[in-house]
Amino acid sequence: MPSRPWRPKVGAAAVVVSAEIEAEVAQLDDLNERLEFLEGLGLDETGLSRVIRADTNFLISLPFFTCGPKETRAWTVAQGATAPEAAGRIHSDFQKGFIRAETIAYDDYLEHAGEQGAKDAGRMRQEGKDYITKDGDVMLFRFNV
Amino acid sequence: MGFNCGIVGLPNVGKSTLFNALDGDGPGRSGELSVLHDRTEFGRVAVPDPRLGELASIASSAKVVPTYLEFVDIAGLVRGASKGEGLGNKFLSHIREVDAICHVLRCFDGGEVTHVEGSIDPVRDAEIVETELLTRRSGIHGAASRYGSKRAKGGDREARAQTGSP
Repeated sequence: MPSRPWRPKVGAAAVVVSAEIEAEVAQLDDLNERLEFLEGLGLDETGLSRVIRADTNFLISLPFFTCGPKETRAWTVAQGATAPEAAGRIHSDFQKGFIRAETIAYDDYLEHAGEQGAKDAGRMRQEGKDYITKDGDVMLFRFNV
Repeated sequence: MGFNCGIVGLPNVGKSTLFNALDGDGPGRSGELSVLHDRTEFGRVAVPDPRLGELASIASSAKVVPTYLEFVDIAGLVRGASKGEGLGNKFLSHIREVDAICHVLRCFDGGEVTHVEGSIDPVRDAEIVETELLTRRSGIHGAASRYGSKRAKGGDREARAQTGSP
């Protein structure tokens, strides 16, 4: 096999995966069996987790959260997306009628024990249409259609 | 809505094997199907994120929903697909709908699995597929801008703003 360098024409991350090994791993239902099998081959995780990590590590997409008593949910949006675009991932109406996003950084949310605490500590930001969504933002979208 | 990731590559490079493995479904339909399957398959996996649990416990949420990475198995591309070779355009239209592209390159030897180009050369393969995608993309852009200017002429405000016409 000839080896020469290749530079993709677009930004790209590369992950080496053996599809054959992955297929065999996928046949094992038990998680421990999977790990044992991988260990036997000198690997410590499946190709799938490496592919998922490549996605987040190489900044293709980023997660943000919505959080409340009903549910806590992770969402994905493209890197560099604005707040209305993030809102649009949830519902296109959120994007169309976007007013603002009440945003708390993940660390602040944790440190001040939730939305109310963060609000009282002045860590809740009112972000507008031009805000670029950041990794781990906990967001509440205000909209009107 | 999760993130869409389309799996592309030449035929017989291991796309479907990889897809089935990622999907965790065991063997699906792969195994030298050079005859080009024309179905597009979807599979999704939850993206693990430890922060989700932390948030949920603070907000005492009733439900925790992870985000999903959705893989779309787009059938094999061949040289000239953007001009309609093989099942070309059909797959290429699926690529339009994805958020990210996962390009599978064959680096394994293996006499019994034939390579459409006759030899193993990942760099050449990469370039073939990229060329097809780029050719196709310029086609899409052309069509989109024609459609946009038509709407702009008709007085659509959004289209006007996008095309920059007064």
